[in-house]
Amino acid sequence: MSSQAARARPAAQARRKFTAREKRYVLLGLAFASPWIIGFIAFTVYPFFGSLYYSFTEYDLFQSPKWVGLENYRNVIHDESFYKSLKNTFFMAFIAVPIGLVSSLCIALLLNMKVRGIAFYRTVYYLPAVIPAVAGAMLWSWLLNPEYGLIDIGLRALHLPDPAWLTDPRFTKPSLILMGLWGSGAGALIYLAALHGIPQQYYEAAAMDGANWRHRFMYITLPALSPVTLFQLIMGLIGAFQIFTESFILMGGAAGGPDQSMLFYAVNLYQQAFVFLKMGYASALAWILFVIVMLITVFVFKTSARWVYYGGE
Amino acid sequence: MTRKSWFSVVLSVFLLLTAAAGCSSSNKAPRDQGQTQGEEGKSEGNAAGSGSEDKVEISFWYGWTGPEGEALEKLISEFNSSQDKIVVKGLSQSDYQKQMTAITGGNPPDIASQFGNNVAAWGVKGAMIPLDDYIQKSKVDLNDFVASALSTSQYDGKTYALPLAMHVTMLFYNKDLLAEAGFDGPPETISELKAYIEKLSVVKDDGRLERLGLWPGVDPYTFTYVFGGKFWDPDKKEITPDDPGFKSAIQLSKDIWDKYGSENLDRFASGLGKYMSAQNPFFIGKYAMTMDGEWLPTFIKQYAPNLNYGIAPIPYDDAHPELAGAGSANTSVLYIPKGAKHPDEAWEFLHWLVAKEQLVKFDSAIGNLPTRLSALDDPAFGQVPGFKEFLEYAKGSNIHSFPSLPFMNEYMDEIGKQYDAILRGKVSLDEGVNKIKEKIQPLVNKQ
Amino acid sequence: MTSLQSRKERSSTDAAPRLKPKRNIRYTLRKSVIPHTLLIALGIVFLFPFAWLISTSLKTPDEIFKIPPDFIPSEPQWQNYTNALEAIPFMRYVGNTLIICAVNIVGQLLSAPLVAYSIAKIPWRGRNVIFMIIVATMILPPQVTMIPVYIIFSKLGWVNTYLPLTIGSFFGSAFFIFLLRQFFLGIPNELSEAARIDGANELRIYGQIMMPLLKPPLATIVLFTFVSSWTDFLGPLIYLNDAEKWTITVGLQGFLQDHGAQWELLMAAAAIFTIPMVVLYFFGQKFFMKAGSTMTGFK
Repeated sequence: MSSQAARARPAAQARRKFTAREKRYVLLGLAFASPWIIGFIAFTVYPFFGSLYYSFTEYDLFQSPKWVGLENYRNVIHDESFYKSLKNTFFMAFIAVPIGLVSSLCIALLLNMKVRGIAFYRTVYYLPAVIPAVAGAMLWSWLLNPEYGLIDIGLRALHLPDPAWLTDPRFTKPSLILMGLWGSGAGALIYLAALHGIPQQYYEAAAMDGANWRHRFMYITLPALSPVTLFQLIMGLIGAFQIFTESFILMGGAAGGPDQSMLFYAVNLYQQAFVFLKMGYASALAWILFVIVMLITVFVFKTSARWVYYGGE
Repeated sequence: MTRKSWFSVVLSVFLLLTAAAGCSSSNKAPRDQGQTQGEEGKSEGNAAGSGSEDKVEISFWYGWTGPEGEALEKLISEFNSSQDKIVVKGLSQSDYQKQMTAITGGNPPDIASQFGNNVAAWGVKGAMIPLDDYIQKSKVDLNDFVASALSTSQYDGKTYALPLAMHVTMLFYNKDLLAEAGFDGPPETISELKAYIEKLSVVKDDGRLERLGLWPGVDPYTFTYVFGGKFWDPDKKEITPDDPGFKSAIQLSKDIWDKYGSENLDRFASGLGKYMSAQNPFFIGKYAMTMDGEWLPTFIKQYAPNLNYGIAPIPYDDAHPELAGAGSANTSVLYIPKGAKHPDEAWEFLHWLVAKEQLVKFDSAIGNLPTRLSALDDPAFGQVPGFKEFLEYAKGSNIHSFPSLPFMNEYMDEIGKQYDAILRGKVSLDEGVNKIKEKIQPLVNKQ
Repeated sequence: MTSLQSRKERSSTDAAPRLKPKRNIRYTLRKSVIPHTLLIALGIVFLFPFAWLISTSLKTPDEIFKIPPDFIPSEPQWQNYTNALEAIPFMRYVGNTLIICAVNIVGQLLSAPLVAYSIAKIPWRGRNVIFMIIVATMILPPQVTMIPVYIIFSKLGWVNTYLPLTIGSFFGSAFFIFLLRQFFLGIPNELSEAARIDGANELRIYGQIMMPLLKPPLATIVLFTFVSSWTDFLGPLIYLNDAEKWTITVGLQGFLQDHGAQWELLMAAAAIFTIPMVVLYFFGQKFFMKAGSTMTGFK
């Protein structure tokens, strides 16, 4: 883009503007940025188009790739696992992510209270977010054990239903949501930082107009947080398509769990690529994932104009 | 000025290069270190460390873990001290898929173990080095191998692996629990089996399962043979998930499954202990009966020596008594992966390991069935619990292996998925088997 | 002493506008008792799984399957920890993982500041384009490039080595470049301009003037790189076949599969694995938080 723009300028002017000094800066800049540029070409640009190419081939890493046209995409359309994984992933994206956002916001509001020792609480609430996913999944598979797990023991003591969390297909994804809630301190801190950034005058002005706390929350806090909500929403949606480790650990491998209820998009892709070695088919899955994620991101951005407010500095 | 700037460009590129070099060298270091550490460990073990420099080290990945892995390690160190050319480094790795990614990645082990029913798929792909030349050179007598076991490691006239052990399933029953329920012997027919399961299962007052007669989702394969079914029609080159025998097998599982329901069974399953431990549900009476392989008596001897159990043939279909003694068989095989660095030395070890003496030592230690005819009546097996029953059973005419097919992984995976969906009532039996056919038959046509 | 003092101060300022004592009680209730109760209750919910982890890791197998469970083990079974370390080659996995962590830290420190300096401090055409692309790559799903990258490494014969898990860091991570660029923008340009006029070359400006100012964000990068390498699961799962080369995450997964029902050992192993994260968190809290707020500063 910029080089085109430069070319469009009258040559004489360009020559005058492109001094030796500037040339030197371009070289310097490129030299300093070269690690990233090389990495970008080798590990992003080439693989990006590479996977597009592979998606039209059949390739098992033994024989060389064989061009099959649209066959992989046709097979995806008829593949039940694809739909199952998409459904499971959408469940996490459109149910678990919003639940996580609400819980993050609630915790942030709690932490925004002006009481003593708040730094201590902040530390405590964030702590679960630093637990590595592998250890977290191990811990929760124990907590959610229906016989000896703490959660079901507690539920039984309260005479509530005690689901077989990780073996009953209806409860596997809710188990993940539960784990997510435990780790929602991370999102809460981002909200908290944004809460601190809301100018106090807004609240004072509103209080003078006689607004109660609900009004203040609806008309000041939420709109002021909306850019952060957008950021977290998009990161959460993209994250939902990466869910892998938790399912892999909790279900003991990439099998997808009871009734395939934990077969997420990334799990299915891993299975096709690294268990069945269908590199072409998996590349097609990857590209479909790319298109879906782009569509969702664009859609969220487009609609965000209606609910995101950017306060002028 | 310009010279200076060029200097800085060159310098920064240099910086980059050293960064890359630093990366690879700092990477190499730990790997070499790891290797020497391994060697040190070995030489301590077998006191043959002095000549280790001219020795060839070969790596051997095997799927046996725990006590079974230890039995194999014993043989490995025996091999290492028996000669001074080759050092075998064993590595217990139960995830067989890792072998495949190692082969495609160009860093495979020199020799590895596999299940026999994977050989066709891997051999056709080119992941296994054909052993025919080696077999000829070393004059291995293939006729001494049990024919059905050997056939699993061959495909299209090539031998890709040699079988080290063979496996077959039978019915295990807890004598005490059966006696408690008023049975004085194991079930012989399918209808008896159903009655047994119903009587042996214990449902608590709150409707939850305390004990199961037999886990209904056990495996659709063995029962398929009970009902005279098959998975592959070699003449028509068609997979046959719609075979009536296979469908009857699933229907049987489904009948039992529905009696207790998914929710109850899921809950029950999640409370069960680890298979290879004293908490194995059959060992602690959570299952009154189970269908399992010839290694189980050795496990019982180790983990639950006081268990009062019996071994019986798989019950037969009342309508087809001539199909009695059905079962599914599999083998454990050894092969040399494509891209192995030292295939000749690997063969030497492989050849040694499948020789009668070593094969008997290993199979008797872990209670597996030997794959050599000359080993079948070796006295070493006299002390192996359950060996006689299984050996007799394995000789029966209704023992089948899952067909050796290049797409067998996908086929079995799909059977597993649809089987689960059918049991859970997500799809009907016919829908399920049609889905298997729709998904897998195109793979057949591609071959 | 200080807390007493502050309480006095608070109550005096709080009480000043309101003189009625009755009102004061309600006020303390609303401003102190209820919030603290809520915060403590939720804090217990958040901490309980940790407590349960530690409690389970110190129990005997019989105690684990006791209903109702005892929260405090009758006699802490410290040997569970040594047993867990012996049940799998734990220290080897830790060693492997630390090597990967160290190489990645070196890689990021060498490359990320260089690139960030280029797009923040060197006035060259095209740096904004580079910056835009860097930001764009941050939302590219990794699956899109995963397979060809695997194929490249497999062609190079690098599968089952640590190279695929480390080489990428020498090209700079987009997130760190972004973080450092924001930091560089906060450093006044006069500093580098003055040095340039004095005839210092760019590498000297970068190395001697900028780097010393970068200590806080570089510490963040060290911390984050360590955490991400320590906890990475998918990378080692895909690239490491040989169990001796495994990192701790993949080793733990194998442990879970082989020792499924031995919860006391599993919890002990999980605890050992987690402790470095918790320690780092307590010491490096401000870095965690700062990085979070820099991220969201970008809208």
